[in-house]
Amino acid sequence: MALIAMLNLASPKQYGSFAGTPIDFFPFRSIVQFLTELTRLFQKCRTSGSVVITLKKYDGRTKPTPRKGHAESFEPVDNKCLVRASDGKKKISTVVTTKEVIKFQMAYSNLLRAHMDGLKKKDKKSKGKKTKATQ
Amino acid sequence: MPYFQTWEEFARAAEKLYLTDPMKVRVVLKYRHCDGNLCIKVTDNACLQYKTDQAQDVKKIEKLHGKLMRLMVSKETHSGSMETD
Repeated sequence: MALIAMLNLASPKQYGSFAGTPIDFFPFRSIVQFLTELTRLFQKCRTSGSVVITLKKYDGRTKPTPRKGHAESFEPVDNKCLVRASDGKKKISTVVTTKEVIKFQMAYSNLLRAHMDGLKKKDKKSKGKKTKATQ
Repeated sequence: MPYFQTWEEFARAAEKLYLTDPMKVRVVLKYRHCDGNLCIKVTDNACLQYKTDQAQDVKKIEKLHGKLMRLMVSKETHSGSMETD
């Protein structure tokens, strides 16, 4: 009994688990803030490091999955997804709903295309020319 | 964790995997500018991966990413309906 009480107090703000790892309090940024900070992450990582972006369906739960025997007093929603980005050190995340997805997607895809420009281009005109831009 | 050789195979398998269990699947995108490569992984703990160093794939990856995102925020529930094939 004491154990249950302990467990209840141990993690007051858990958002269940994401990508297999438990989340401690993760302040979700607004989509605008998220996109601004994602831009910064890309800029920071131009010379070294990687940017990892994760996308997952989110049912809006704000409490950990209850153990069996406990009633799930929670109505899952169907129209949200979680987007997370990290450069290994800094982590940012946001929740996108159906209403915001179009806006978010437009800005997000522009951002990806603008920053993921370090890959090889298929150059049919010049054969055997190594034109990888040096940073 | 096998890497797919062609984009088409990967995209088909990724979407199929997502539709079998939307809540379990996550999409991970890893971009390394210094190495000039991009890796996309779609997993529900059994993994599908695709790696590229070609700029032409960025658009394809970004489109798939968008498609999966729209599926995630749509109100249709796909779980339980395995009427493929």
